[in-house]
Amino acid sequence: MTRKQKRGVLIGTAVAILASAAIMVAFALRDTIVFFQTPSDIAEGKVKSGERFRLGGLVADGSVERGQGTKVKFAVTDTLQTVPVSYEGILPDLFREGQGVVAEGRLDANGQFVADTVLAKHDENYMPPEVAAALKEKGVKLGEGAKHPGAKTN
Amino acid sequence: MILWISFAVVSAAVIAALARPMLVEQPVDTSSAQDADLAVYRDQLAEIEADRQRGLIDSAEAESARAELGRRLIERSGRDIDTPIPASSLPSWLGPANIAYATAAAIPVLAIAIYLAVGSPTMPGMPQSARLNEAPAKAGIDELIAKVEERLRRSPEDGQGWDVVAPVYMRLGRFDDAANAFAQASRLLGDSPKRLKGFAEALVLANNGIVVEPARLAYRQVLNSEPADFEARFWLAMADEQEGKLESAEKAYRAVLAEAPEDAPWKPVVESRLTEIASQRGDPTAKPDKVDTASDQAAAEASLPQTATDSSAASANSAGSAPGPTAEDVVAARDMPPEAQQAFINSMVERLAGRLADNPDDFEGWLRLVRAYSVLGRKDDASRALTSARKSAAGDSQKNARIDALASKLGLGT
Amino acid sequence: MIVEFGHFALVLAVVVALFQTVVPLIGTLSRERRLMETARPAAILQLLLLLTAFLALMQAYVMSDFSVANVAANSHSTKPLIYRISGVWGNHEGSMLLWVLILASFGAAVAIFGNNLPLSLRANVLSVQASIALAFGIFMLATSNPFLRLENPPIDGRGLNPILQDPALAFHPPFLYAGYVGFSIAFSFAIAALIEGRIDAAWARWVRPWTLAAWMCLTLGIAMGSWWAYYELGWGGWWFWDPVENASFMPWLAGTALLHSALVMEKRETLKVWTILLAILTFSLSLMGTFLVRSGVLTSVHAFAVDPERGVAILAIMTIFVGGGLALFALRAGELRQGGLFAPISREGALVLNNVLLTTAAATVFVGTLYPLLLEGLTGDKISVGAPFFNMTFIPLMVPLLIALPFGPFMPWKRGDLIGVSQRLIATAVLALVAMVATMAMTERGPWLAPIMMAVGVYVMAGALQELAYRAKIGSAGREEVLRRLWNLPRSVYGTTLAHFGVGMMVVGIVATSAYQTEKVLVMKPGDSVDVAGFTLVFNGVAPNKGPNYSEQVAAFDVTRGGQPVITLHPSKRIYDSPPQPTSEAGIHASWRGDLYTVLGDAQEEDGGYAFRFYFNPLVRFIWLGALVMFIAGGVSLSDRRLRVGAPNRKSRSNAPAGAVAAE
Repeated sequence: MTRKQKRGVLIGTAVAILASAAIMVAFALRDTIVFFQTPSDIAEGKVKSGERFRLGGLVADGSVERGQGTKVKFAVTDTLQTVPVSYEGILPDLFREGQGVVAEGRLDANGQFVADTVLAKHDENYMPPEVAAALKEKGVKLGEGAKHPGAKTN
Repeated sequence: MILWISFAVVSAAVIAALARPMLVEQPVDTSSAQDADLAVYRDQLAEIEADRQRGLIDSAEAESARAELGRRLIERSGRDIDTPIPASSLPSWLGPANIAYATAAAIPVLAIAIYLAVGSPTMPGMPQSARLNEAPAKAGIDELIAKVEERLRRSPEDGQGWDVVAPVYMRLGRFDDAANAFAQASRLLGDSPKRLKGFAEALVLANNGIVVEPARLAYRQVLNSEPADFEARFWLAMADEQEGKLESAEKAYRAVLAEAPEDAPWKPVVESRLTEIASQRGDPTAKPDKVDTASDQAAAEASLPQTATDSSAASANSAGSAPGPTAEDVVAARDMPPEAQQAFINSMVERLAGRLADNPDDFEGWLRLVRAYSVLGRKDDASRALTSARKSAAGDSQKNARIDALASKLGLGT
Repeated sequence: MIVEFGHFALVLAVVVALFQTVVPLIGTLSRERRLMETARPAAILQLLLLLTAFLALMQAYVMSDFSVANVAANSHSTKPLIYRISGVWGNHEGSMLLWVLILASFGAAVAIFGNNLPLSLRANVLSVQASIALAFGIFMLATSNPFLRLENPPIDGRGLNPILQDPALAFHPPFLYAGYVGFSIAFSFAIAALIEGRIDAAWARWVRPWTLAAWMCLTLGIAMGSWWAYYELGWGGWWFWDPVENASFMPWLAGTALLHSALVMEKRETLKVWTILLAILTFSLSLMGTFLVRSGVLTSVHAFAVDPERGVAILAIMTIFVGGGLALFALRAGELRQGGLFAPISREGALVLNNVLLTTAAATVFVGTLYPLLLEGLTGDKISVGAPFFNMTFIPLMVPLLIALPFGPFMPWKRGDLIGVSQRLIATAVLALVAMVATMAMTERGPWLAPIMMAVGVYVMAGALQELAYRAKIGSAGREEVLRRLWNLPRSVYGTTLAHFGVGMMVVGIVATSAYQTEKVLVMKPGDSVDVAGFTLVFNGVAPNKGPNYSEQVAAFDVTRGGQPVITLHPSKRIYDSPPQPTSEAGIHASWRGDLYTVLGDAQEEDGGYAFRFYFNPLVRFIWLGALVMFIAGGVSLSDRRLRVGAPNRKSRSNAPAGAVAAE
């Protein structure tokens, strides 16, 4: 092989790997990303039933209802709209009424959000960033809770 | 002053270390980058041989690597791409010596200027231990508290301040202030079992051993997060007992007793409460056996789990808490002389009476006063207080029922 | 007094950094030796001054001096001593001080151990290094000064986030920073080479040990963070593709590539331009990691825009260094001469493949981490890119890398023989097949890919060992000859073997845990029992307990296996006193077979039961053991004399024989 051919093989391989990685990234970005919605977004009909998304807001006061075993129902509100949520599993330590929460799952036919993951980050003052931003957008006044005291590596 | 001297010393050391290389003649470096490269190639040649001996590369590979290195070596030594190092090309005003003088002048000026902008040179270090140890000697506890209070007045939103001062109030017997401080701390920093229990204990002590409603609620809340907490359960049982719910009180006492560790020093108290209940149920009008329970309680109260650990003599002793504040129960300190005890009790009762005169709607307060007077043997006063209690009950049937129960228990005519 | 002295030391260190940035550079541009020589004392002074500042701050933490705002905000007098110490870097300001301190340590190490560096190169490297310290020093003094005081100090501090009160997390940041910042040396060397317009033959030799040291620390730092997340967060997971994790993972991938390309550069004088670029990129990713974590941009693009002071400052620093470095690269790269030739099938070719795959993988992580930020900035849509994205993009790149991995060390330089190497790897391949069959036999469920991936992991481990066996002629030479060869092998060869073996261990652990994890969530009452992966757990109730600065509810489980008692597990829920915050402590039984992992959930109001989560994570320890083995491998390699000496000793050069340095 000449010098040129050798270089050609190397560059060709590199380009092929990069190109296939780019294609994979493009596909993955189309298929795996999850949008973040607030109860108001749902009320406005922005979410199709069956589509997977993240629902963020505050746990409505007095809405937490424990069922059989580890089943639990609660409502997520952005103070303008409220969406009922059902979940089976252990809620995070910081899950509390009136606190920020992010749930991931789908809407069922009755408009109930069936969550398979519930996140409440590990900090008393932590409000999931999306929740804070979304709530701010909706004009909800936020107190200290909206601050992020630092990510976990510090 | 020492601080500034140390700054000067450090700055001088820095200047000396930095200026020195600029002021002394440096040996002329004869080696060039070319020499360095050639040395590396020679090393690599030797490494190839070593690798071949170790079997890391076979001899064909070693041969070709050696050939390549040889080529590089010849090329590098034949062609010197480095221009010979010229003498310094600095203009004379920018000579090393001048830079050294400029450095010596600029570094301290710059450093001090920046430091003055951001630093606080007049502030001494204030390690917490030193502050806490020194202070009493220098100022005395009252002045220290005054300082804290002054600070809290200026920044009442300082939850830490409230948190710190609350147990101090407890220790000094300023229970109302302690209760308030715990409440403020809870409001600002959130409820914790410790704060809730402190708050409730302070209230109970402030009310001569009566588990008033806010204290009861606080203990309830403690149980939400720590369902097995002995202290909270004991006081809730006490609240039941004081309300006359003897059955549930007995049940709760027994539960506490059953789960208590073998060597819990407060077990006798619970046991004495049980005896007390038994005797009350046998004869509803029987007066409590004052002396026994009181001393038992006072001793045991001191060893009740958790709160007792950070509240010392005063709070523990005065905590003697019975359904009604018997004379001995209210006794704040065992080591007080009897006259002082009497005066102390009377003053507390008078304080309560005074408060109620200002605020006649305090139903619980009236009940407490009734108990207190009755214990002190001031029957007439007790009857009058009972009447006031009825007034404040304002026809609430539940409250009236409680008044009747109390009256019959204390043997007071209506 | 001590605090103020530390503050002054910090200020003085920044001023010295200014001096060290400017004066040595003037020296190299004008070839004035006396100015170049100032770089060395300046670098050492900088370290001493920053160390003074750091110790002063630590003193304030240990003594609970709440007149220091930083201490009041992040410490508490009841905290155990170790967490008062780790509290120094458990917050933004203190961690920036640690960052700069580590930066200065690496600079001082170059000054002290760099005797054999050409004077002008040393001056340039230290000047670049100081410019980074200067930028971050100004940033600290202006926006994140840890020494600011409070007029009215509170009686007690606000406490450290209890979740950070953990031994693994206490020492996770120092290692992580040592990794991040260690790559600054590679960056400084790259910039210095670009400034000089030529690369010394020994360049790669000088850069490799520093890169290796940084890489070791980063490996351990990331592993500690992952281990902490595993046992502390109570989700049984060990990696979440969280942006904060990705921020440390990207420099690791690029740094791993840099380690390998520097090898080619040293041996063959080729891939020079690429290696220089990679050095710049690796440190750029480190800076970006710092930026992502420190600026608040991860919380939200909006939060960043609302409170821009710190974020914009770090962004500006990043732009200057990354942009400046890349611009200099674009200007000067053309002047660098290319080196030796090689065939695509060769050691060089294998290392190029390694580099392409690793950097592409870093790029996919980069896209996945920054795309949500970009999209939110552009359209306002908020999305989350989670594990599914990375599984789809990252893993397909790792599979060919792992398959190619054992081939690399077998390949001769310049020109290789794929078939010949394949034949040497037959034993390894057979072992991998056995592992695959064994996996299929032992498991009843799990994805079809899992046994294959288990085989890949075993194949990497076995391949690493087989390379060593081949070098020592195990099986073909006598016992004495084998021992002699094993004894004579350079430590860097052992380093390679160990590091690759560690990678294999990690793959095995990751695949086994991901594919064969058992999870059960259920409500239990005292006396109930549950079977998890061959263990029987009997629930014995929940009791309260009091720790030094928390109170907790502790559940007790008697664990038996085949009727034999194994252990009593105590998962608990804690509430810390200050700040009051609940945490879950998992009860974990660790064994080679895997971890039994129990988490206490909420009490059920009506019936006195408690919710529990149980996991069995097979072979999960292999993940962190693998990382530990890689860390040790770095140490072994670093102890190799050839790497440690790094370059010919100038003084002995003229009279000693040429091979004096290399001979062992």
